[in-house]
Amino acid sequence: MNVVVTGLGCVTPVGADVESTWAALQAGTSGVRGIDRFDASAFDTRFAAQMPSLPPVERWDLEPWRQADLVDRKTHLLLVAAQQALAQSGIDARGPRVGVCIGSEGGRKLLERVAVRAAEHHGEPTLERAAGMLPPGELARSRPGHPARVLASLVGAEGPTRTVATACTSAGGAIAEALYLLRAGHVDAVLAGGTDTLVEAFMVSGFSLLGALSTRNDDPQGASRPFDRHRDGFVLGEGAGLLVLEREDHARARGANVLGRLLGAGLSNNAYRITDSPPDGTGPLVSMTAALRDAGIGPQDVGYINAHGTSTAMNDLSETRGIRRAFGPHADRLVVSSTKSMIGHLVAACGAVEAVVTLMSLRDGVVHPTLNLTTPDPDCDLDCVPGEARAVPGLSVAISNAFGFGGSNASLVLGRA
Amino acid sequence: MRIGVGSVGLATPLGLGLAATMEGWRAGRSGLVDNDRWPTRWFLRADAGLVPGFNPRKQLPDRKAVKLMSRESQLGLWAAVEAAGPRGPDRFDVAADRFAGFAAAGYEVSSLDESEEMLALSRDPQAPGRVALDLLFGPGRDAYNPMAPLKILPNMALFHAASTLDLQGPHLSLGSSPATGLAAAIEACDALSFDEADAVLVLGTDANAEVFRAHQLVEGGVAEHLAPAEGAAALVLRQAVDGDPILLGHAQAQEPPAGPEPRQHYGQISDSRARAALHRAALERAGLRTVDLILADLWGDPARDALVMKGLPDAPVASSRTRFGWLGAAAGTVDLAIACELVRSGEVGSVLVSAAGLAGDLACVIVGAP
Repeated sequence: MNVVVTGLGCVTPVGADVESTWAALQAGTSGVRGIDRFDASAFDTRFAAQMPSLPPVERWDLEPWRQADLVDRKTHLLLVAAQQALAQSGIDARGPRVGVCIGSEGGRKLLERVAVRAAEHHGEPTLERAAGMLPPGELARSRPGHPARVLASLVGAEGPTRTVATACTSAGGAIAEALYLLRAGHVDAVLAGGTDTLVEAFMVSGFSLLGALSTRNDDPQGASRPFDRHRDGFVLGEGAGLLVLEREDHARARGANVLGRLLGAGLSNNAYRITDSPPDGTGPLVSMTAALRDAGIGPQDVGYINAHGTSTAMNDLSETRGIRRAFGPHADRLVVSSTKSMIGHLVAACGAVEAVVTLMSLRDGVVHPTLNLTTPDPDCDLDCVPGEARAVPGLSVAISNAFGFGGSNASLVLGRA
Repeated sequence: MRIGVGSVGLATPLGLGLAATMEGWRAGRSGLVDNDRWPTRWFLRADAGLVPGFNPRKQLPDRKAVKLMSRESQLGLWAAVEAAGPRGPDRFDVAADRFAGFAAAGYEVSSLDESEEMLALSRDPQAPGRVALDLLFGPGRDAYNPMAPLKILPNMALFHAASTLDLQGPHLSLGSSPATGLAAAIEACDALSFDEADAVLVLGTDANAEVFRAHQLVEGGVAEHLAPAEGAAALVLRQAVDGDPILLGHAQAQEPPAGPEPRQHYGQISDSRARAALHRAALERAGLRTVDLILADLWGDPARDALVMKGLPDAPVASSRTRFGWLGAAAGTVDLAIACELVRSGEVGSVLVSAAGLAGDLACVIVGAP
């Protein structure tokens, strides 16, 4: 059973929609700049990939949801991406044969708010008191499943609604989950994607203290440099992506325009460490190999890999080794690039946005560059497209990788329409 | 392919382990006790469903790793080890990369001793009432454990099970509602049927008896009727072998909102049509007209329960919710594990397990004798 893509939407630090994001990525535009949303002056890392403004949601009347305190930034971003994808697809998403699968984490800002409440009432048994004072909307919004539920409600989808919460592989896992739901015949179409907002004090401070973020404060736009010898950590970002996935016969029957194909998916767990990938690349190897098998293709059929490419020392090395082991000699013929070099790490959303970008590469036969790859790491010795975007004539199959804390890995095999 | 349940692990308010839980279940006991974990005077109720006799440092395989686990991860690991055995996949003769894991897990922000420490360290001593995270980059830095916030990630429970048992196949953590645990079991059936794995650990775990999780239950009206509770269940699904309870049928759906107001999208139901359709679909898939027992999503709220009952097929009905409290992400898998044991022991021939999330996600699984 074939699964096709009939709608795409995204909002990223470099564009408010798919075409503007794609144009910016091809031009090598960075969305990274100094943090101006809160005071980060004392933090080790003082920059992030921020959206210059929040695009409006126009397809639905969100006012009742806002009045009920149920629209947070993360949900808003998902709805921006969804309205684009639904408009392009033209699908009627109402009823029990349409599902929703969204990669999303819990509302991390909750803890920060709790801290404020607790401090306001210091001297009381603080945490218990603070928890009781939080407004109900805040608690509802903090559930990982909140964005998916709002989207399902607004479009009237009554098929399975799933939230995948596996850190950086959340959206990749959600898209894989959508594929499984379609194949098993549970639904005819799925709205699949992810959303996340990391430019928050709690997140920046937490990841910074963990030592995961670049500290290149004197050169924010040069900070995210996947596969470069001088990489020193990732850059947090924000955004959302959404794909309308359908059984091909369903899409053809309603005359939908097919934008691309979801050929297969592979998931795995490193069973190794919470924050590290195994240096030998085993986890990525298992997910990519499973994805190729699932798609029924061989390594030689793949022309491009949109890498997870976070710009941390360990991830990029592990991913390189995983690719080499999965693809053998064909690895030297692959083109590999990292979208995170320009939009930062969107964590629960990255798998969706990068799948959208990969489909644009397949549409145009063009691969965006890996920004800031000026001194390639000799241990990351793949063709990672330094400098400028590159035409890849005949590109027909690509892989989008996502790997996450907690050892989870997701690889998607995407094909040209 | 017939999907069987090879083994089960349980940690519930009725007892630690499968045997203790089933003994309490058969005796008709309640698992609710006075909540002595935190001051409850600002909360709606003083009782909770707490797992008795659980000492993670003594009872989990790796004492050092315990400090990196939230309560729900600890409970989940207990159940996973009981189900999948100390030797991991070898017990089922399955290669590590063919052993998958699908989980329902809560989003726990409350059990972190370190989070309290973080908050304390980030309080501005010169200005009471001000929280400044930037203080963490100053003198408090050495006292702060940067790994602590990672405990709250919903996929950590499955990670700890995977790393302890060396499960390297497909893994997904699917969210935090009672229906999610059944959705994970349905996903496992599909993964086995499509040859994506040879065995799947289905895990549901939650720690709603912790303070913030408990307060989340005020939304949707849960806490008015049900005590906050903690627990976990794990099941190993595989191609059925002799003696395995069989997963005969399943269905899942999204219940339409109870009304046009956004608040009506949480925890409220207005009619039973979606649930009736769900159960019909599962029975049809199982080739059954009815079952011997239903484990249903009843809260002890007469008006709500009447609507839930209206959507059920004609069969005896029981509910664990009023005996365990609100198990959240663990509820569906705990009920499914109990159903499997009732079938395995021959007490009933078939059980329909039905669960619903506060956001209207519905799932139903039917388990029966071979």
